[in-house]
Amino acid sequence: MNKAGVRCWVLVVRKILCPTVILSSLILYPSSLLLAQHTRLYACIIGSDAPGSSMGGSSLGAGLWQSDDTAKTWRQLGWKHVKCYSVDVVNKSNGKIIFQACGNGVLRSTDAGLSWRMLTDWRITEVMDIAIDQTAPKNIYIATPAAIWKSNDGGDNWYEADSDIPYPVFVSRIIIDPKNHLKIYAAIDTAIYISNDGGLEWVNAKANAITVHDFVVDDIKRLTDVDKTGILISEDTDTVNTNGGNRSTYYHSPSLYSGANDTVQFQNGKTTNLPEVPKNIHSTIEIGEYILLFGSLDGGVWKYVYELGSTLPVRTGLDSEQVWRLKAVEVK
Amino acid sequence: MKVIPIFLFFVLFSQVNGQTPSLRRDVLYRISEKDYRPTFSCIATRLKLGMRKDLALKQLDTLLTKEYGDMFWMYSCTGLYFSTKKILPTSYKKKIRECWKKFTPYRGDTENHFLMYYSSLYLMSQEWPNLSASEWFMHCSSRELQKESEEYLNFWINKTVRYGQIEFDSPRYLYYFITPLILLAEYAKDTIMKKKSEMILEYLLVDYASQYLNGNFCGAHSRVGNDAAFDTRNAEAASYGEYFFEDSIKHLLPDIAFAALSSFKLPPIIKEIAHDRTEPYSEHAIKKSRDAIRYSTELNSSVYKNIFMTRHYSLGSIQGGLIQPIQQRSWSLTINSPQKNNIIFGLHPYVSEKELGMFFPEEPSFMLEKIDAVKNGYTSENKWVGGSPYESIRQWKNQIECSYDIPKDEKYQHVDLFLPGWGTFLSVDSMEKKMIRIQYDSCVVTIVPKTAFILQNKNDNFRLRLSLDSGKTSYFLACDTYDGFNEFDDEKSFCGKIDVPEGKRKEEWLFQSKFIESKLGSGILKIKNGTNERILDFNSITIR
Repeated sequence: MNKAGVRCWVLVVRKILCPTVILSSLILYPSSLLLAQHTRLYACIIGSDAPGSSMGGSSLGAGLWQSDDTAKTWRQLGWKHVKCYSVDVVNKSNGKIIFQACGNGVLRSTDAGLSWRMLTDWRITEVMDIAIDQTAPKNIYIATPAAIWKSNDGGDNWYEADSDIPYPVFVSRIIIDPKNHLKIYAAIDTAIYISNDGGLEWVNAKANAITVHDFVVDDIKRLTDVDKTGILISEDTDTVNTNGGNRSTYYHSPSLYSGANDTVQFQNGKTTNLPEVPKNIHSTIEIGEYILLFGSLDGGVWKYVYELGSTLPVRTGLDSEQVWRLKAVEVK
Repeated sequence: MKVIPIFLFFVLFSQVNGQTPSLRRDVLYRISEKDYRPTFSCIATRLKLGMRKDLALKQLDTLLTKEYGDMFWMYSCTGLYFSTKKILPTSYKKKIRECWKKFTPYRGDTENHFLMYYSSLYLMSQEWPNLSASEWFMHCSSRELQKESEEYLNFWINKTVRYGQIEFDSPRYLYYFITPLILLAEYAKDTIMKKKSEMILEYLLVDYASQYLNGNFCGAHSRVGNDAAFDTRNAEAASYGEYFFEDSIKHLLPDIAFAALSSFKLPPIIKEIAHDRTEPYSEHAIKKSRDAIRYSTELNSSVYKNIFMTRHYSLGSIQGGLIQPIQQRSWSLTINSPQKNNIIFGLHPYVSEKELGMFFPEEPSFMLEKIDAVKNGYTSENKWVGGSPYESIRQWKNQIECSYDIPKDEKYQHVDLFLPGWGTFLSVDSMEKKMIRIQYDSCVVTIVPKTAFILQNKNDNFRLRLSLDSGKTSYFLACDTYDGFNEFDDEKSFCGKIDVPEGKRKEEWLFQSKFIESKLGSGILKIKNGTNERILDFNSITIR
């Protein structure tokens, strides 16, 4: 075929076939428009609400679940039975490279959850959290009940990265500062520790240690820690004032946007009064504008849509599953 | 029609050297004939004996269809596969292979869980040695799985035989150690792993034998279930006690089939130790606490265990404190009697999210809210199992002193003792003297509470409830035979007695008694009875 012929076929494909296929697809499968660019939700399940499914036991529903339609429907990804405490995704992989922090160790998928490989051995168990350095995704940190571990090769090998943190080292969360990938925050059971060099050295950010259940670092670099009595905010991300701040006792677990005076502040700056949420909320995330999702250990993901005269949160799937953590990722 | 199966039995087992053939035959036939719920062990027995084979295969289909999700499934499936390997139809072997590719079992979070998980993975990766990663549920190759399993098993064996077991002396969980070790000892191809497995099996069984009294598992326990709280003859370990130490089995557990299908035979010296109660003896041992992941300054603290054994009774204890969640038994006095409920014990009913948070990674307050659905009765003020951080125990032979210092903000402000109802109270006025004296068969038990108490009759047994005085209480307890009983002179007879092996520091001995001796960290266990000796040397992996 000569060049003119090739050009002709290219024009046919570009001008006629492609639009036809796309138009047909949208008529037949309107959801494909939605799926083109959307928020993918992950729910980490540690067991069902049936007796015996947690604390040494497990259940069929334990593991990682995914929703591509704003929590309307959910499907389980890969492993069943194994408690999933946390998940992280390599941002540049468009949802393909996923890491799960599990009871059995760390699982990695490179095909968007179709298959999973166990990366850790008997030395690492009950992985409570995982954080991928998105600027250098081979660098991964995990939190366990006995140590912080780090991998420099995408999870194939691990070494302990907490040498200067005194025992006990029950680490419930590990977070990378969104503005500085070498700054790592670890929620230890007795304090928050901060590393400024990618985990080589750690300093105790709190002189007066309290039990830290969870914490977050927001876009304006406020460090927020949460314990049983509520939420405390640090404005400089290096120290947490244990004597000051207003502790909200409303959320058992953190909502970054929950603060003093019983209000919720959304990413867009709008605020609303705190909704009446179910008991044993363990995870809270905001998606889109005015939507909060809660993960409950009593079972289910709950959705709260803030509008004037809004109603109470409603359950939106995974009704009988204990939701430990929720995560939202943008995918195409 | 039983002629052929019996003939087959002799053909199958006459060449192997297990427990006595008659005992094994009895166990297997009874398991095969009884209508248990389908288990891999029952199915393996029926297939092996050629009895009810159609039913067995139908049940196997069911078990392989439903996706089971933990290490309990793994070890029992492994047991079936290996024990029936020569006769299992190829189609079923393929189904089992598929399960190990598709099922994704939970590894669990305790010592027994990990042993079941890795012993199963070890044997299955040995069976299918050259498979690629995509053929296994973990997406690791056979070689990788074999290496990891071997590493863990070596780690666990080395640590246990040198520094002590974590889930020690459990009337329930002992069987989750014995069964996977029997499978390893029987089916591991590697001669060193096989030998090590046999040796640690002997190690666990001699530990059991020295605390065995006519079917009872005496002393303190890392974990005991509610069913066996008042009588350890109801527990799973009793089945193995009968299988290894007696000549008949009353308490038939289906999984004991894996032992009966194996060639493992207990050395006679261990069986002798289980029965030789001619002279009283003390045994001191070191164990380890479960990993304390929160609220502790030490991951695995040492647990010092004492037991005083006679042919009439046995008194055993640990030093107190919280060393295992929910099911700990810190001390007990077992009476050697055919009567049901033959154990006397005491506890502070400690209920706290801190206990759960210390040993489980989930959210402590949430666990406390849900715990009763998992472990029934945990939050009850009347519970009969569990340890307390406020308990401190000293034992000297047949006497024990338990002290409690309980903060005001703790939920329950009392201490309970369980007293079996079939005893005879020897004197009415003993209450006024704050001394309770009860005769159980040939034994007299004296209890001296140091604070006010009430005696409640509950379901034909007694609960002795001590109240606190400024947050504190304590009691003394002694046991002796009626003939040899001397007036128990309160704490005067106790104080000053040193709770250590004679002439030895307890911190230096993993085991010290007339039957077992092992220096901490040595890896050498000497089993002895009179002039007979058997030495398990885990350094050279030899038995002398």
